[in-house]
Amino acid sequence: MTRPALELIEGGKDAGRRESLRELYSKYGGTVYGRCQYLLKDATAAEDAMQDVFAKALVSWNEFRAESSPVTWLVRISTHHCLNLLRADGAGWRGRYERDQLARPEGNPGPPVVELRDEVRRLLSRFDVETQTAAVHYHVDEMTLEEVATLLGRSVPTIRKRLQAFSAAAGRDFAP
Amino acid sequence: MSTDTHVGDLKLRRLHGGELAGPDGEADRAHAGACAECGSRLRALADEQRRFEAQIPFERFAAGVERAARTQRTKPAPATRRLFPLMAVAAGCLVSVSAYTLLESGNPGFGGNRTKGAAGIDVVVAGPSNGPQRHASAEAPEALGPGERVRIGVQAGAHRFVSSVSIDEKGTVTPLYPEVGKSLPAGPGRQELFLPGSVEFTGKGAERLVVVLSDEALDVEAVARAAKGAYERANGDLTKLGRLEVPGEQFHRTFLKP
Repeated sequence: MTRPALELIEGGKDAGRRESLRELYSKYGGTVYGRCQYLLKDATAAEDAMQDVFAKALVSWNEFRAESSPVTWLVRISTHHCLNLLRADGAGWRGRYERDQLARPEGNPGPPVVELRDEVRRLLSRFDVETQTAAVHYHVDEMTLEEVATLLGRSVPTIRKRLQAFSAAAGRDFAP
Repeated sequence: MSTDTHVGDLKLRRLHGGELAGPDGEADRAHAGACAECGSRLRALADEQRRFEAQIPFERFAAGVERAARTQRTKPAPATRRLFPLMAVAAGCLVSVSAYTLLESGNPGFGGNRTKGAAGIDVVVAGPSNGPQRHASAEAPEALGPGERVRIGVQAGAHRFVSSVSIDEKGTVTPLYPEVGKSLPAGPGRQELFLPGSVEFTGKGAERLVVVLSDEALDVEAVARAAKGAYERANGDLTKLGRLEVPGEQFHRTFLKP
């Protein structure tokens, strides 16, 4: 049987792939892993999700490199991926959050100091994925309404409406 | 945006990643350079990257991403990416119909017993554009070009179920049909049916495709484990991969990835 001729060549491709991985790791690793950790709240799940996100970049390397902003692309993909994972997890997500709330240390009386991004994270489970995505990009990534609308392929009024609903649920001034 | 005067988080990340080097980023760069808060947040991003590198070494990162990429690239194409493959499928079916006529006279693309009512498979290779298609050889490894996909035709014969896995040179087994759960129903009959979607094998080196036609539904995980066992018995040489230890008739094809 014929041996695979391609096994013997293309050593340069491996080196190139290694360089690509190194670039992803050293330029974007912290950002993507940070987003996955923020949304998933679990180190193992975050690492798995991060690998999936970078694999998408690696599989579509030419397209990825052609992006005007690789950071924006990665943030968008990692946010979307993690929110989908959470949606698939369903009730487990809400249950874990409630347990986390109950497990807060007792030595810290009074209302906990919750940063805006934590508050956003807490509210996400009440909304559909598009609203979740808009809220994360707006409140956490601090993108403008126009930028979020462009990123999600929606009109500015649509995104504003979604964010106002988010704000109403929060009971605090999140309004855009 | 919550921060009216400061540079937003994403823009800071882009600055940190060297993306706002042109004139468009001039104002943001100037602000971040002069603003203590934004400067502090930029330093925090550098800290975040350092913590990441301390927590996940590069080798672990690279191995994990490669593993995830292999899984993504050998999955059947999702519906949103099937626009071309579906068109190719239509053409592929036509090719297969004519091949079916050839089958009786011994078309080399179709594996299995040539007797009436026998089981077999026909693997059609289609390019990334609407170009010519061909049948994968059953006798020798089939070299694939960049972007080429394969579509699996099945003539179930007397069997009722079909499952399929692939295995690469490193012994990574990917369940293809189904991805999880029990075998897909197929036949019985002489009619050749194509499995849904198409598969692109990416990465490098050889990839072995195994299709199992069985009388009972098999757990595809069991088929995958059997493929791994066969790989180990063949000492990792896919060209010597023997029969998988699962019930049913088996059909193998070997591909050389571009």
